[in-house]
Amino acid sequence: MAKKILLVDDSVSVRQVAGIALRRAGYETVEAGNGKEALPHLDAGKLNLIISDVNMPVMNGIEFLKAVKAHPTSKFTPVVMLTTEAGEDMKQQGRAAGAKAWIVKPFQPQTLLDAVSKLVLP
Amino acid sequence: MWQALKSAVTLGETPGIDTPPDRPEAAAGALQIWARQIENARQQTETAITELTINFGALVEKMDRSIADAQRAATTMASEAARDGQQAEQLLSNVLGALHEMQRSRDTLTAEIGTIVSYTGELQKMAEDVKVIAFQTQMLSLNAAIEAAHAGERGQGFAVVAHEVQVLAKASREAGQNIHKRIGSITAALAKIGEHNRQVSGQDAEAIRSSEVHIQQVLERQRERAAQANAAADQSRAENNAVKTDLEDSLVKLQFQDRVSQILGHVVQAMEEAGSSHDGAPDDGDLDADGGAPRRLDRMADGYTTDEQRRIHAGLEAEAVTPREATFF
Repeated sequence: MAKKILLVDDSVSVRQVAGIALRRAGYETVEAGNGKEALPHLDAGKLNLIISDVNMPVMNGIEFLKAVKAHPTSKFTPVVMLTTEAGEDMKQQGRAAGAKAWIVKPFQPQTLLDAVSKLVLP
Repeated sequence: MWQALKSAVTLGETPGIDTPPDRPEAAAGALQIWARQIENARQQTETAITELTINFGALVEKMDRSIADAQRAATTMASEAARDGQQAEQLLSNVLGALHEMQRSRDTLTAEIGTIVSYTGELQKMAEDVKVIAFQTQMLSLNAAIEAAHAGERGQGFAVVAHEVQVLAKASREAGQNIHKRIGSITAALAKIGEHNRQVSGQDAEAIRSSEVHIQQVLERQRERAAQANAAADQSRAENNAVKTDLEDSLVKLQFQDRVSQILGHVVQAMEEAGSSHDGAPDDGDLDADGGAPRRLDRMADGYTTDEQRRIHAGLEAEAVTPREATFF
């Protein structure tokens, strides 16, 4: 069965680039435009990994990351932050909130796939 | 107008810029209009780039399917061509085998005819022996007839026997002659058949050699065509993959939209704040403790999300944005 990955980003372009790369690598993807839209996916079913932007409207990535780690079904789900944000302070915030990896946009799809394959449990 | 904008953004605190009382208000209005114009352009760009990205993405996925289909078709065709080639080679090889077998049978027949011809010499000799025996028997019967005549009355019965023996000897001689003649005819016929066989066998061997050459040429041409078809399929695959790679690269490059959208969003937000809150004079919140550098600029900087925003804010050149490796925690 394909591993399920939740993609959270307000940019359709980024979701498209990441989604194509992931689906071609055999993953199943579900998408949301911001943290709040993504919350129902945490209840919906088992997610093998979450990829989230940081700067998003309504609920930003760090708030969403905290919600993920506080949620009973997703607290152990690895989260990769995919963001334009390259500052060390923000990275440390992400790390403190429980992110497993940080990728700065623009990204090469292979970089994302390598990170995903390292973090998704077999 | 630019002076007015600078006045509005820096709240009239930039040294050397004259800010008459009516200018900041006009500049504030201009800032709000420009902010809306930039936001409009940002939204239009975002919509267009998003649609472009979706189209490129659909193209990439379509090409993925198309390349996979083409690859399956090429593999099937190559497999069928290879199987057809093997079957053709097998069939032609069987035909050649049958022709070789025919030639071997003909050679065997020729050899057997030669053996039979060699036996006819012995038969001729036996026929000659029969003739000699018949002659000797005739001579013997003549002598017996002479002796019977000498015996007079008592030899009359023996004379009859001698006469019959003479008749048999004559018949034996004629039979020997007939056998000799027939054997001669048979030998001549067999020799003729043998010669004809040798000629035909030679022609067959030549025909088989020629067939082998033609068959090899046909198989070689088929192999060449199969190789050409494979090469064409490989080239087509490579070209499709190159197009797909270009599309994928384009998709990666289209990520600039997310970055540009964020930068423009911050610019618009800063301009709107400057335009809406400003009535021509700086308020306390816009100045730092020394009453010099504006705090609004610091608040703007706090909202930055990209390195190039921070560098430009600090008066540095923006560096080229290139993809980086992931950081693992």
